[in-house]
Amino acid sequence: MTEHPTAALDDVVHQRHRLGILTIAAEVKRVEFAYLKSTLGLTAGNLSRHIAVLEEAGLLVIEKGYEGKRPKTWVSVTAAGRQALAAEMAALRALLERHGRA
Amino acid sequence: MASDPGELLDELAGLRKRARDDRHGYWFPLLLMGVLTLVSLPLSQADPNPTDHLVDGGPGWWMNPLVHLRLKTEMVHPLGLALYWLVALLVGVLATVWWYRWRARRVGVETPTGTYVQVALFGLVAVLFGIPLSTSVILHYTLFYPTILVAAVVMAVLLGLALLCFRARRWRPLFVPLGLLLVSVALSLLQLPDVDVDLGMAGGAQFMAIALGLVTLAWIERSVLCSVIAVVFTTCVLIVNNLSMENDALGGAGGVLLLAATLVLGGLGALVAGRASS
Repeated sequence: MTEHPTAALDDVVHQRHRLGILTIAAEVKRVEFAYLKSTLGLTAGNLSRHIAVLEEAGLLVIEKGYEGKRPKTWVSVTAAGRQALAAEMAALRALLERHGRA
Repeated sequence: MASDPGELLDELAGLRKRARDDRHGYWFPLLLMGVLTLVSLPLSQADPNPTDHLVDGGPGWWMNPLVHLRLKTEMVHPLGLALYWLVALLVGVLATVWWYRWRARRVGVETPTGTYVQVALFGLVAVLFGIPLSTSVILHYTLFYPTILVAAVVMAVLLGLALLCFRARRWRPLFVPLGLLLVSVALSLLQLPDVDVDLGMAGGAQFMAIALGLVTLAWIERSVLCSVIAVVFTTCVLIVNNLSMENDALGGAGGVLLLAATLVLGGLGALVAGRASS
């Protein structure tokens, strides 16, 4: 008997906003904190918490710096982050296919 | 929150598209290379008395990299044009990298330019040294006569191996240059007498280098419009390099004007399309 697709969902990644952060970060070399905040419609505190969870899991790398006097935080995805995103997308597609067949 | 997997996948696809659209900035390199091509026009004038200074034709001219940066016709300023293009191509690559970094600071998403730099510099080395060298080696040391069929089979094998190199997940700093080397050798087979496609080795190699850079930009930008412009430009380069332009009204510079117009119009079109989608 094949495993149900939900078994492949990762608790760290399977959250709408974290999936959004990983999706955007995987599409670019690096993305700025303010871009993620406005695109995902999150508060700074909320976004920081999601980023911290993903960084702790080794899925994102954070780069802090300054541009002039303004602090800037850049986020980039790691190889493990790309793999986790790909696995999550595959699990979601499998789930969708299973629902479609039911 | 989108609870349905289908809705969630659609939402993520929308985010990916938005990030992709926001990071697109290829109109600048298109316009820049178009302007650099236009500026080369005064140096691209054909010599009305070509027999006055026939300098090519010695045994080693094929391996002189500057020869490939001229045009096919005898010219008034051959060395000036070759040196201009050598500098212009390097400036073009550096300015493109600077542009993407500057844009990233303004928009908040950065396009990866590492692959572009690798391919652009390798492409320049390939058209100036690699393709002429491998063409000479194939012509002089091949064990059997390279007919069109032989060339097609060898090319398919080399491009297949190159594809495997590009798709390698490990040791990429080793495999990507190896893949580019295989592509370079494969392209040199087009120069064989039976195939007879000029990639710019008789002059005009600078446009082949630009075409290679554009194809790479289209790949890293994942843009359909940029891909279309790259294909149109590459086709124009092959036409200009393989048709005689000596008798055009601009004294051989008509081909250069066509290529410059393609780049400038492509850049302006990309700029308008980008503004319309944002």
